[in-house]
Amino acid sequence: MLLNSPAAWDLLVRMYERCQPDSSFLEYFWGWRALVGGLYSTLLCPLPKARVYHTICTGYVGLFAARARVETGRPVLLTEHGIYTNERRIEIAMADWLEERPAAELSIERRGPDIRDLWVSTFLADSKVCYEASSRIITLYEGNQMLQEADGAARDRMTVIPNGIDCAHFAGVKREKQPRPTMALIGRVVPIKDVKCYIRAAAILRETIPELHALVMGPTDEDKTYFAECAEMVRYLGLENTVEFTGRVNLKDWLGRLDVVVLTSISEAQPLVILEAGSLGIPTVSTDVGACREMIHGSTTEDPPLGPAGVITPLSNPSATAAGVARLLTDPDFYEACGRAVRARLEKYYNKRDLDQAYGEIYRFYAAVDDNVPPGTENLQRAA
Amino acid sequence: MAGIGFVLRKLVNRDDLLGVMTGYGHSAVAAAGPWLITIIALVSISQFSAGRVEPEDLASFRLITIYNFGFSLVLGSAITQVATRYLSDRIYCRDIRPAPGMLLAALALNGAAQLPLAAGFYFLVLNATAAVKAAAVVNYFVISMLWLVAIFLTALKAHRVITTAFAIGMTVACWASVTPAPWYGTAGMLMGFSGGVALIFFPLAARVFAEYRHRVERSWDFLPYFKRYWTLAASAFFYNTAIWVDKWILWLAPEREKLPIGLVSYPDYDSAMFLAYLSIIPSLSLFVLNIETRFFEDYRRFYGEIQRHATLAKVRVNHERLVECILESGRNFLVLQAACSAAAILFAPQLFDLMKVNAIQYGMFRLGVLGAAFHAMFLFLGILLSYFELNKLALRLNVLFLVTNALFSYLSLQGGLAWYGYGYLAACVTTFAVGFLVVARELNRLPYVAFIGANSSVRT
Repeated sequence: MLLNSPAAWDLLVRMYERCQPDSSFLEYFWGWRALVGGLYSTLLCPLPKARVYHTICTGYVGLFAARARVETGRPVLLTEHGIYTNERRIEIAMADWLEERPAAELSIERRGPDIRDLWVSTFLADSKVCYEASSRIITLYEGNQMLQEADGAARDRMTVIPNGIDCAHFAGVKREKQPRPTMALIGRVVPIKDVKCYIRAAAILRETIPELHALVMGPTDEDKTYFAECAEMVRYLGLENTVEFTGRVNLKDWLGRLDVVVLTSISEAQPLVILEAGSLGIPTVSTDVGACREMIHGSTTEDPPLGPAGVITPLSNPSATAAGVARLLTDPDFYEACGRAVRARLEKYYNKRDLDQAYGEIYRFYAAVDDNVPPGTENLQRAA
Repeated sequence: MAGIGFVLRKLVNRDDLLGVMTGYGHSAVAAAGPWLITIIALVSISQFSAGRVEPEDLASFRLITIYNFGFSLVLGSAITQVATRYLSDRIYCRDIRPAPGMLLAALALNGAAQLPLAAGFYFLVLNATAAVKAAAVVNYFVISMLWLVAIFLTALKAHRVITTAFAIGMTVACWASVTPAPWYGTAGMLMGFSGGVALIFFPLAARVFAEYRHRVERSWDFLPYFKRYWTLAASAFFYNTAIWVDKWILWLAPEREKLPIGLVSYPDYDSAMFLAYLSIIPSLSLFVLNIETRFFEDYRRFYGEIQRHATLAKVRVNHERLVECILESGRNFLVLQAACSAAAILFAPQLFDLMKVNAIQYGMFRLGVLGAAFHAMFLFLGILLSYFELNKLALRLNVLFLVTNALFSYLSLQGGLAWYGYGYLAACVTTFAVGFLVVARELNRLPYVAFIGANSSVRT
């Protein structure tokens, strides 16, 4: 009824004529239906009663939270790990990924820039609504806050609460020095992890460290085409004895054997693997994405500075990655310093126990707030 | 009308008079095929047999064939319609391999479904010799087979074979039904006629197997179509029932004839109506020609450009063009039909003299001509609806036609002789009026219909 009635059709036609009258109407039709259909289901599905609503992203979930705010007058908290709009942007831009989806989204690759604009601007609008409704906008690291601000979030409602790990979790794992220097990319074999960059870096490293062992630890079946391309690349570069795909593994069995952890992702939020490896004193070479810089170099507010816990490299730069790994593997003093720094930082800033407590306090505070206090003014309310 | 468009466009584009005329001929066959065959067969046999056959034998024969034509059209309509749709889809998908197998399976299904009915009816009801009963059943079977193979008519390339088969078969049917009459009576006439029909059926069937040289495979693949296109099957059934229901009801009139064999009819009404139907053939073929050529191109452009990512503005232009084309076809039809109807009504006395028809039929004939004109227009609305995949609307219109035709015919029956024929006319006018409003509404909002109203992937 909401999507199929003549009135809905008129709305669609009016929106099309306002926004992009020169683009494919067929694409607009299906795009509009997908987006507006999602909006309607968000607005129509049952809303559970709660003192505080906590959403873990913007998008449709964020819209739902905003609806909860409007309907119940209770505060909404937002914790964004990755920035939703950004991820949608990347998704829509990455034709590889789009081609992976059959049927419904098959046509997206043919979409002109117009229909992409529709998608992106819709998600952006969804985010704005969610930011507007949220009393606290929490994210994992400072870098994200700039993106949130650019998308319309109010600076005074923002907080950073990183993810932490349980420092004791890997306590039983012993470092076992392997006969070959060993580095590992721990993650799914998918384009967003840029495994190809890692393979190229391995090829460069082998020139100076011939006995290098480069592991790729993570499931290979999520994007079979991409995995096949990676395997092909390994063959092409003659790296069969250097690069090894282990598939999905139990990190506890493997972490102890690694010398360096490598991340070549083109997008991340706060990859915990840096901390997990760090808990054993293993340094990381990572691209400058998400919270990686903060975890490796410390945040701007770190006092006293604990020093680097590895190397940060530009995106899609195999030689920089190779250079970072080479430095760690050939400079024992630097290696030791990094190991110490990451352990100290982990204990001080990324301890799961402390961070859980932070959320507990936030929940207690907002659960006690009166109904219908405008978002962001709860502190004033309490003070008064 | 599977595939007729290609042929017609080719014929019309030949740009000579014969090509255009042939185009018209094929259109007529495509539009009214079985109907046309029925009427021509009945009229010509009546003309041909006059004075050569015992009146009682002729009457029995005539009535049995009328029953057979009528009931086989009605009872076979669902299978025929579904098979047609399946064949069209196969042609559209360029995968006609299952076609021969489907023909065999449809024939078998048709036989299994209808033969017991026909046999039961004739053996229980008919008051005649076993030979006549058997001949009647055979005749029914042959005719109902002809309807099935007729769906391939327009898809076949060999038009000369078709035309020849029909010409020879019909001639033989007339001759063979009349000649043995003095010795074998009704049974002889029926068998002779069946032989003639078989002479049409078998060459056509042979032609199908000759053109589709594929192993018999996936014969029963069309069965799911009964579920998928149940609206089409039901539509065809209701439509064909509606065409006959006024006759059936008038068979209850006080003026009806009850033959010694135990069947009833009202020959004056029946033949007045059959003759009246002939008046729409010219405009019918014109309309089909227009639809299948110009309209079809505009229609394809409209949907094709949507698929090729046209802007809405472009879609609207195509929409307007399509509507314009339909209006123009409608106008052409109206002019021609008005002329034909007027001529038929004005020259009815001369026509009836010529064909030696009972003058009591004037009134019914003239009402029939008027009704048929509306009937034809309603038929076109139905064709448009099916083009736009608005099958449920078509189904409802056909149900309306059936209900009004039955109701008004019954009322006219109560009114007496002077009112006979008004029932059919009123039903046709009503159905056309409603159909016109429906089609006008859907045509006006065609983009909506294309994207949502008739889009099965949107309606969940």
